[in-house]
Amino acid sequence: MLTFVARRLVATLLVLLVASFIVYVLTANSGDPLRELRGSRDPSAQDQIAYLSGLLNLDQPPVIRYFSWLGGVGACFIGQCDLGISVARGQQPVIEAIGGALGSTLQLVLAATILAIVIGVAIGMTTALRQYSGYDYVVTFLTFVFYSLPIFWVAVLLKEFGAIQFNSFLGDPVIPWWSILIIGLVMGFIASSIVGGELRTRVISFVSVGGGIAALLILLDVTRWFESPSIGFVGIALMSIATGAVVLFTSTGFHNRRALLAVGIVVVLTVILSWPFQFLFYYVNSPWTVLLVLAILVGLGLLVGFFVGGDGKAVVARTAAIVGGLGVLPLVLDQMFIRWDEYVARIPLSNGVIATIGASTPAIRRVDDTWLNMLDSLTHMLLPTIALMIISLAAYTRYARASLLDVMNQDYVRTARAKGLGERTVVMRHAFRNAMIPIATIIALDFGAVIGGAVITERVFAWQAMGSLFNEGLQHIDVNLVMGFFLVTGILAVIFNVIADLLYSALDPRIRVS
Amino acid sequence: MKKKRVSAAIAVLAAGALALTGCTPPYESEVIADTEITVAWNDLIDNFNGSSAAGNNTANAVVLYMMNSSFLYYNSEPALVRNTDFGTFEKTSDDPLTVKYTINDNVTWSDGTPIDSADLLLAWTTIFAGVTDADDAPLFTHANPRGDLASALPEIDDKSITIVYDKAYVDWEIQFDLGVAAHGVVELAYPEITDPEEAKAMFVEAVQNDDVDWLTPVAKAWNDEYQAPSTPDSDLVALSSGAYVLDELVENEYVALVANPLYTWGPSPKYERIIVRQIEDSTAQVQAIENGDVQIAAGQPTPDVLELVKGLDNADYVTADEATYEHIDLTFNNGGPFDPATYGGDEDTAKAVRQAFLKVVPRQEILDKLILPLNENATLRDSVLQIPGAPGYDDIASTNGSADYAEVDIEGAKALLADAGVTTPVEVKFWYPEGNVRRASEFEFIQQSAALAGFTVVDDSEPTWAFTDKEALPINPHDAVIFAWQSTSLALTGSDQYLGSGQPSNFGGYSNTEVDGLLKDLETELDPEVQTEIQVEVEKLVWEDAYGVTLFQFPGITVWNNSVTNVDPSPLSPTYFWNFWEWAPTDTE
Repeated sequence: MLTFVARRLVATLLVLLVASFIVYVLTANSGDPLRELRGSRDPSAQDQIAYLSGLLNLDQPPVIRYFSWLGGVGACFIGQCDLGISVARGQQPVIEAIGGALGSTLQLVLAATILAIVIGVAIGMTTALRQYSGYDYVVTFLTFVFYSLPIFWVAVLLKEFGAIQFNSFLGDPVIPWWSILIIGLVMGFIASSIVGGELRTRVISFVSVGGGIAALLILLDVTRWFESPSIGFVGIALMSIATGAVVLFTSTGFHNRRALLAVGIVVVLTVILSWPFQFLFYYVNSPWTVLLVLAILVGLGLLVGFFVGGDGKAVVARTAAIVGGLGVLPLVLDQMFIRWDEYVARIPLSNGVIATIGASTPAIRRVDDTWLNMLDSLTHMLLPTIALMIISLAAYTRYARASLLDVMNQDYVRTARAKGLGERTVVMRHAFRNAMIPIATIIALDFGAVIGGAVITERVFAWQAMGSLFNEGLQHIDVNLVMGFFLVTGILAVIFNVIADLLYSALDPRIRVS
Repeated sequence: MKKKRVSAAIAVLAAGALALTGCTPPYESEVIADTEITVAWNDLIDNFNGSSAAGNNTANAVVLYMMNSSFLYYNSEPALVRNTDFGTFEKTSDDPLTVKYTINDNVTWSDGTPIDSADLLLAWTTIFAGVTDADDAPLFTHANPRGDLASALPEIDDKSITIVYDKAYVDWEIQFDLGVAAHGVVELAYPEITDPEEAKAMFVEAVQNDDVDWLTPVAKAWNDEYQAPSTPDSDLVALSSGAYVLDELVENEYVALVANPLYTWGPSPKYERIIVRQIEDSTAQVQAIENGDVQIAAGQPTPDVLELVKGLDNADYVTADEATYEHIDLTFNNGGPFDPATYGGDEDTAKAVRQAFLKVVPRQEILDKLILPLNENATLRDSVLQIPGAPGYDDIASTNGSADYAEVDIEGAKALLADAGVTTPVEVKFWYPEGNVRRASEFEFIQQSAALAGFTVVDDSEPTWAFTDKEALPINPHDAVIFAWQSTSLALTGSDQYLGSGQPSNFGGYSNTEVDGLLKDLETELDPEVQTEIQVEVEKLVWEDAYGVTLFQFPGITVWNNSVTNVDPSPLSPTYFWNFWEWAPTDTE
């Protein structure tokens, strides 16, 4: 196992070395880092040109400069990294520039990747299970549309509709009757397609889900909920019940009475505990409280599952723990929404809350309130994350669909069915895990693509991270900066490849990494 | 609609009681509590010493402008305005040129230390390379040290400094201004010194005794310690002498400034906080204005961006000239069609060919088709030396002979070529930066127009600017090049850099001893009228020699949200920031 990982690492290091040489020489030859200065009539320009030429050793050929740069990178192994200085960024050491940018990129890219995997796999699997249904065709059509959209365009459109238009809606939140109708019809259609079955069940699911959502929208509209959105006890209860139902549906099914009981108890506990937790969140006011509450709820879930589970202790406890863990989400959202009015008053936007630029609002950063800052991060991250996600979502959907369809035709699935196992057990326990094996490959590949997409997304959303660093480096022919970007993304891609390799062996016991 | 929390209550931060001396008018702060404006800029401050070689750039300049007071600033005309609330200066003698600068009594740094002659002496030391090391190199790496201008140690008293120039100098007015705090840089270099007055006294003594050993760490601090991409650890780095002090700097995201409670020496700003956000993409800037993320943004418009801006119903915009101007330069020494050597050293023939070529450059067409759609107020630039609107521009433009090239004159060009006995077609290798769409269009217009007079203009575009590196390429291989120069001030010196024989930015090998002499005279001329006369003389020669043609100022656009008033773009740095104290929220009434 260790030797395998080590071998992979050595091989990729060699690849990185060769690639870095090519990138370095190409970038260095792509232009003149002092071009702007040469175009300046400022009397000081000549002095600056001389100063920077000396600093960057521009009198030496790029190949020589590469090796002195490599020497600086090599020094990292003895803890004295020197990636050179960046001309484009006021002679800041590149290592500092990367330090600042890496966090934001990981935040953005990880969130987008994880969401794309979860949502993409979920959609892909539902389409596979309802192959050749109307839902399948619609999703297939949409995924191809998204797949072919250029990300810069998606990002600009998202800003127009997701921020500017949505914000002006929030400024005067009246939902027109026709959009309630359309949303109800669409949600009803999706629900009935996924549930499937006979006409009667389809109609029931269509009417109940579509009508329920339309009724909810009318209620929110009448009560002017969007003017000052809040979640409160009712919201927490509704959301907890919904997550409990979804988790139960996918893991054990409602017929498992013990699991149903355990999940019910956990949901009730979450709602009851939300009251004391409020005080914890308010007085401690630290992001660590989220982890604390998460641990408490997961622990409670395990305990409840253990005592209620009977024969299927492990399964019931796991289900209850997942429900408990997800129960944190409505609690956290509730804390954020409590501060909605204060937030709206503090931000510079004339209407609404969704920001189009940057990672935070300066006026909010000054306030020492975890939840207000969390809400601020949310309003800033929402659009760029969606933009990044929407592109890879399509790929995950297609791969998950194809992979699950493939697995569902295997002999062992037929055997499982022949044993008399329920459809849920067949899909979730026998087919799902095997269907994930090819997806693991895609994750490693896609991560690189997402970072590439982030270069553009970051620019459109004025998000200052690795992508904008790279852009700046290229525009100013700042070789050190470009190489800093290359080094970090290269290493990240290597790490994700290793993770994918390890995932194979975890998912497929036939594969031994040695 | 969201209710703004702007209360009309005016916080009188500094009472009129500060007007202790009779000569200072009582000052009343007009800062409105809890107001905040966010503006966009394409880059962010990363160095709080705007005079050093490392810190001298526009992004630093715009923020430092709001954090610092100066004896002068540029308004939107552009013209120089003296800030007499901060300090005064006067020329006390023409020969030798002597200027006395005096800081007003109530002026302090943001830590309360008075601003006095020690700070002015530091400025002298850095600007005029007052202290040098063993190799005679300036100890302080100022962006443009002028050791040749005022080398004599100036006299100082409590609040003033008297600078005696070694020679008359035309740009003496803008040559000197306050830089960073003397006690700040000394305390950064010698942390054991904590008393500002002691620090200043030691600094003054060291400069007066030319104590290089003691000053070396100070110079190192001045050169390096002000580099700060995020909020600096030491308050000394971001000491302010102006209307705002640094609140927070987040690397590449934003810088937040907050009104300086001590500030009484200048017009009072209205916003309590100003936040400058870094947004590079111009579409993103416009969408941010529409959404209300930022209130002011500026940049160079493309047709798409302009269209987007016109569609905004909550914002105003102005298109105007920027300080950068486009021009075509011809090459005099590369054996091409404009080089006398091609015609056996016949100067007149080469000049006729140059004049003929410039006559067919469709300047008006370029302006009409490429620039007017972006800036409806754009005009042709008719002067090599001065920016339109600047003092003296009209005099220069009307008499310098640029009128000969105002219209395309195919017949005139043909006649010139025929009289000179040059066989057509004449091949002209024309360079423009490859990938630059606007310049590619300009090239096409020129190519078509020139063809009518017998010029074959060859596309010699390259992505690189190799010809600007005179060490690698002493002679420009292109016959004609098109690019832009940027003006950062109204200084009259500096034009010798590209017009003078053999100067570093003279890429075309232009050489006219008469021009060289006139520019040298201009440098030491103190009478504004004579200055204009000399400029007219220089321009007449340059246009007569057919050195090249100037085309247009780059169009700029400034967009602002309706929630702010009194935004007034200016061509020179710090552009729209120049009157930041006049910006006010719309809904305060």
